[in-house]
Amino acid sequence: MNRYLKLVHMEIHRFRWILIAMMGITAIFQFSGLIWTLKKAMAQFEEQKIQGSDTRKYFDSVPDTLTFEWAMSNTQMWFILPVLLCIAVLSLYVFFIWYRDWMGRHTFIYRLLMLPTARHNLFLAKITALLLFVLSIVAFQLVMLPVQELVLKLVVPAELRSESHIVDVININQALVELIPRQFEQFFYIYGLGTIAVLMLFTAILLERSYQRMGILYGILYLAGCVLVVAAPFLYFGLDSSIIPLYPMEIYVLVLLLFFVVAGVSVWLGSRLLAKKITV
Amino acid sequence: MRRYWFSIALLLLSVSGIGTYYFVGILNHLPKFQIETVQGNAKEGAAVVLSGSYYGDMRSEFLEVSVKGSKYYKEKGNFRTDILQANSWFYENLEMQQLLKDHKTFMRGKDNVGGFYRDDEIVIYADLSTTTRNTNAPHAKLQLSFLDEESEKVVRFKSIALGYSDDIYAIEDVQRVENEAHILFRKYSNQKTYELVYVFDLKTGKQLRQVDVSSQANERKGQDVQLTKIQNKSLNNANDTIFFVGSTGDGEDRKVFYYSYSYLTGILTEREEPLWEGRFVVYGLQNELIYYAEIDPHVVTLSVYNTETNERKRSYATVTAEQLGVDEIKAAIIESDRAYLYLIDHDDTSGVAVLNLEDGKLLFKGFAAPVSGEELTEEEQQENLHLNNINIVQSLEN
Repeated sequence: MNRYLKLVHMEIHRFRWILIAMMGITAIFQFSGLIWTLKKAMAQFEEQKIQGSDTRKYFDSVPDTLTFEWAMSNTQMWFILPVLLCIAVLSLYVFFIWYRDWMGRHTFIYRLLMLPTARHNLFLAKITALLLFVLSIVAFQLVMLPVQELVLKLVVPAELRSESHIVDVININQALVELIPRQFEQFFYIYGLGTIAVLMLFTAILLERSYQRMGILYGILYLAGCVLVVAAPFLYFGLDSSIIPLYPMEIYVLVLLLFFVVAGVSVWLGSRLLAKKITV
Repeated sequence: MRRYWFSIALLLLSVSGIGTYYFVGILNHLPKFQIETVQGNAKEGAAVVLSGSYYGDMRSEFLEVSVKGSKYYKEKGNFRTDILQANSWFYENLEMQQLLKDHKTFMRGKDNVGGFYRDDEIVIYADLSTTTRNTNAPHAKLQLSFLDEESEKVVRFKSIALGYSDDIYAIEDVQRVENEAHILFRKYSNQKTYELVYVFDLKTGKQLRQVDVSSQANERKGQDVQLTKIQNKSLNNANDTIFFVGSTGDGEDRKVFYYSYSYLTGILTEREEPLWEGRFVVYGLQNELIYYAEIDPHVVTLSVYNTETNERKRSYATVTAEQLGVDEIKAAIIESDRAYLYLIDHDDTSGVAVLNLEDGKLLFKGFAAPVSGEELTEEEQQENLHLNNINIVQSLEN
């Protein structure tokens, strides 16, 4: 356990600057977008006050009172772009977290494989670290929202603003609404599914590392097989109980079971490849 | 320990950020409503669900309000509920709930509500499987299952081919007449609709005969009559007679006729008396009785017609908006032995009244109202609540 945690820490340590940079870019983008939009709105308020309400144009008018929800809906791209950037970087790092160990003249994987610990700890440490990166970015976004609301309160005078609920603020943004679902149960499904997808990719990468060129084919076949197993119930019978006679609760349990099977097989196969087949 | 500070900080950020949001942040997002009892027993209003929207600052939320409280659609929906609520219309049917309770194994894989028949001795289930293969063989194949209630013995007859390859069939009713299963189909063929009854032997599953109900109506009128079956409120109980509304012509030339069809004789008979009278009528067919309510924004009149004796009790009960203390009676539903009225009060508040169908006596009256103790004032919440629909969701537990 101790060695596993040390390996997790090592993976986090290796990625820390990229993670901090992503958080920094997200914060800079979102805060500057928010402040720029609010300043623009305030200037428009002034303009409308001078010109009178008759001259208000439909497209550039601002509501009588500003809310954080309104500000979020008018800064969509400022929030979405850094989120997409984080997703892109983390998606690439799913591959890089393994391949970087093989890179360079003195390959790091030599040292990792020589460590006096079970090799499956390497596999588990990488997935844990990656999951922690994702969750910490989501949490960072959640923590930033109250701070951004505070910025709104500093920029907009009290008589020109009204309160918004954080759930409404998240729901109005097209990216955040997908990343931060309204129910914790749905959050568990989305990120659970994501974790299983990464586990599958890890195993496919290790297949490639173990069997070289043929490994690419094995990896692709493995991924296709996993997708088929998980998607089979939906592809084959959907929720039509006349094709396969299962009650809805049984279909739900079956789908969960298949997800766990794919996750379990991926961890087992990945660990086995690391222990027995991997070549450096 | 100091060297691990970044990892620990990351872990703490994740747990506290996500945890705080889901266990504290999302609280008090949307106000709670419920149907508050103004008069009568709340149990009588337990099946009523009013639905509509709650208007937020920039978006509206779909919600359902009942005596138990309110349910926002997006707040409750997730991967699990999406799967569990597939075919919810089937599981919400009271008769299906009873069948599932009594015969869970037999009910496996059966989800066609109109395909069930049940009496004291037997449960019959008919369903269609269709093939999309491009052959000349009939595409529709009937699958029949019989369950003996006492012995729990199940007999299945599979793949009974129906009609020709281009015909499309739908099951409308299943009945038992002694040792025969009578199945009413709606057939679409050559851009025309036909009502057909196929008769099968309960012991062998063999088709015995076929009755063309539509032809009987067409022959008598000398022209094509479009038949539509009147749905009985009990989907699977024994009824020897079923009813149809027939129509000919279009627009101003449209004429409406009422028919009854006897499974015992196989004869379609045109009725001299209409099944119901008046405009803006809702009805509920309960075995031989047709209860109907004529709705006017200010008054609802209940009438009943006995299809066996032709006896009609016109306006045996009348309930006015004034009596109920509301501005408008917007809609009505007749379900089981109750009439449910959807009410609109002075300030656009939605409410419901439940009447005893037999004598029109008011059993329950209630209005959708905010549950107190919320952040916005009750007036503000009421202003944002826009209900516009009534539905009856019964459960065996109620």
